[in-house]
Amino acid sequence: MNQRDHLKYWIKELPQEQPSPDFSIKVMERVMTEWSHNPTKYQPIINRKGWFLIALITLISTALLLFLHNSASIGLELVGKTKNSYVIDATKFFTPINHLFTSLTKISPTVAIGIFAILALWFLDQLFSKTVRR
Amino acid sequence: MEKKTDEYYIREVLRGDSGSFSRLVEKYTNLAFSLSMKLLNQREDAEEAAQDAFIKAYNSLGSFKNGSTFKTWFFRIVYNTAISRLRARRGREVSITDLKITEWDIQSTENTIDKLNGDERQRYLRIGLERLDPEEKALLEMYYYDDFSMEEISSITSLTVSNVKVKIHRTRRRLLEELRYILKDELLTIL
Repeated sequence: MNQRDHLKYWIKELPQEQPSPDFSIKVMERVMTEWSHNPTKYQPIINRKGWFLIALITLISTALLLFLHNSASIGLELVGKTKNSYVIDATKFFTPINHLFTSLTKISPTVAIGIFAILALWFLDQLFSKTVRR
Repeated sequence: MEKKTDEYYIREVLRGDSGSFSRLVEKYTNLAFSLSMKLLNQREDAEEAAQDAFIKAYNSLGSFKNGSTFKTWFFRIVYNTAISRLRARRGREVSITDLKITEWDIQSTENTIDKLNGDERQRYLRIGLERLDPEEKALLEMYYYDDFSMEEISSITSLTVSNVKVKIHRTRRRLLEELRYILKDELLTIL
């Protein structure tokens, strides 16, 4: 065994001091404090441009539906009057909503559904972001 | 439990999962503390330096490049943190003085130490190591105890490989010189 090996053996023989048992906990406490000063910022799944695009598509779809609806001259009331008796009367469901919107804002239920869809997407986006953060 | 690589935990931390950093803390606690202790030689100071190094590593994890290993990158942080504390504490550089020990002295000292029992050898070696300059002592222990290569030590300390070699060689001689004087003193005390 040469001198280098001797020294290596002697140094390795020395007992090494260990850190205190709560060392890792103290480090992680400080890491969490650091994190709280600068928490991770998550990007929304649907960005601003995406929302504009969704709104645009919804508006175009609604306008298109309204246009087709008027050009075909098929009102919901008429559909309800011409269907067979054994089919569920859709007018019972749509008519009150239709009346509500017609009387209040003169907008069609399709627009309401579009608005509802946008709100639902926004809500899901928020919910998902929060879940990821946890 | 399946063991993941350091790079995996680093990615997780960068994605926002700070908890994944605890895996790296667990893995490198002993080594970080041990290196700090070699330099600072005071338990509380060494713990604080090691903690500071972990926080620095956490904050600059984004700048870690996968080209080098996390271990070497992190040890550079630990080394620099401990060195800064050490220099602030002592406020002066320790210069390397000329060594007077001969090859024959080295051989005879080595033979004497080899004949000692384990406890005695450990006691003398500890005294000898404490008499060394902390930076040089850390280099010696990184090489002999932690089994770092000269290249790794060079990367950690920012010294050139040839400089690391020279410093380790000098420190080894200095340690043996110190041991020679300690043993001579001990023999005089006994006689």
